[in-house]
Amino acid sequence: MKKLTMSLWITGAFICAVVIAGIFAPLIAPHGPYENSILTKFTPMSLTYPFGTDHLGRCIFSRIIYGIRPTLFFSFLIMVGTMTLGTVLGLMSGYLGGKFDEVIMRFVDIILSFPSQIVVLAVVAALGNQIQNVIIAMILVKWAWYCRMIRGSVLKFRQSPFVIYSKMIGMPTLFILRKHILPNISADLTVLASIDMGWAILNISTLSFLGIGVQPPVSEWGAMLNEAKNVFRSNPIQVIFPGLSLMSVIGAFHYMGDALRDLWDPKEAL
Amino acid sequence: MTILEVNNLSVHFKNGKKKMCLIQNIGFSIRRGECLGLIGESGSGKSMTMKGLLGLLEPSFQVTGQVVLNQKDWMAQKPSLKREIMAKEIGIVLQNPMNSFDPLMRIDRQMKDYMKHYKKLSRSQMHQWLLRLLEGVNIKQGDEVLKKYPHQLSGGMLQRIMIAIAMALEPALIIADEPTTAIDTKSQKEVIQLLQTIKAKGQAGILFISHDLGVVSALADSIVLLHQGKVVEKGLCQDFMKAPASSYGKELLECKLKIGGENHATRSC
Repeated sequence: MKKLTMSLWITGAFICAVVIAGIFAPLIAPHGPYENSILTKFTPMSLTYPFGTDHLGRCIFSRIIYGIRPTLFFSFLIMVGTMTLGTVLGLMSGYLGGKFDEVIMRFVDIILSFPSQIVVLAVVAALGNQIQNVIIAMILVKWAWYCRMIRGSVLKFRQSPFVIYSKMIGMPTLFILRKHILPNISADLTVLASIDMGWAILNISTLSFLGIGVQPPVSEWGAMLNEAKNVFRSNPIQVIFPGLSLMSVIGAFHYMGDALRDLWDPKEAL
Repeated sequence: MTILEVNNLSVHFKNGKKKMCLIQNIGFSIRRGECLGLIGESGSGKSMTMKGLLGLLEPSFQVTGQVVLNQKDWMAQKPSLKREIMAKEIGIVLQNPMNSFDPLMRIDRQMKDYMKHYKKLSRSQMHQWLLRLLEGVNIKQGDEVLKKYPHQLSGGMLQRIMIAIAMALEPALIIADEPTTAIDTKSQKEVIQLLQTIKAKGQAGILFISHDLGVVSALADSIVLLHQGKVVEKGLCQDFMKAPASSYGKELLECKLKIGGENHATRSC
């Protein structure tokens, strides 16, 4: 059977651990995310407060554990949204070609010509400062990029002999798309999805850092960084752990994408 | 009984206002148990004719003419119906067996997926049926072959599997587009023998497309010679091989003789 690579084990295990920690946050976190006390303000690392406390005396470790929930959940929503939209339109536009392809691709061009970050800000400004608006805005600006990438992968296979053969022996278009094209581009899709996941985590956090999307006092890594920034001079250690968590989780998603590509693409594995 | 009748088939390529004629007024007919060889040099329009016939060309190509398949007007059929007819009444064998199977699917998965659209069988029945199909094309270790991925099998083997798939639903017409071009001589012989047995059974007509005159003379009853998208010569295969009527046919045969002659000369030295 196929061999699971070392990096896949490590990154996979890490991501699973993070997800489980997020789900069982109340059991793992020693304190509540909003438990504050002026007496424990800026406590250094100790057994009671593994990562110390912030300017309101809240346990940073507990807040990071609770912060997994909004961060990963919202990024996952964004990833699923962009990938679904991008895959469906990319498949159709790449496989059907002709006028449909032309219309979709020009539309994609229009969306790609906007700077994505600023469009998100504009959409949020127009629709309001809630997290669902941020998610919708991010899906709307990002699907085009994936649509184009997936269309490129589909084009590689559209005229390949096995697709033509399948067409010639009377297989329906939906069958060809589902059974031939989709599995053959799945390696590309996985890599895209994991990069997308990293991108989404980073963007959700960026926007929270800017004060859009997830609002304080909800513990979200970007929002925590924003709060830590305000007290950076008096308690510089407060920025380290939210920053490290972001970095390690985004890095893990990227490495996992690479490892999955090696595993699922038999052509590269041989 | 006539299986396929083609009259005045033309293919035009439209590019803006320009219109180029690629295939001009081709006509032929195939009866059950008969093999028609569609021959010509590379680029003469053999494969284009087949694709135009089956409606597989992009929309920028315009196909006109009359095609009657099994007494039904083929060109007038709806696309969805065309697909079904193509699966049930036409068997296809293509020229590059190594690339004609999905590299990520095992052979059994692939054959089952293709078959289950048009034949309802239980799992074990389907397996038995596939084994019988493979036996029909002289693959004895069917169980092993079915478990393999396409890249684990040889071109000759895959070509025979493709013939098995083509024969599976007992089609009335088999279209073989240069089935011997990409495989070695021994496999070529096997493929030709298989097609000969199919022909001998007399259930299907064969449209055999090739540039290899030797292979064509072993199989075809009659030939249609194409040159630059036009029919140059039509007739019985034997007559053509002995004495081609057209000057282009003579030229083509002479080329073959010359190459054969040189080979012979070098061997005798």
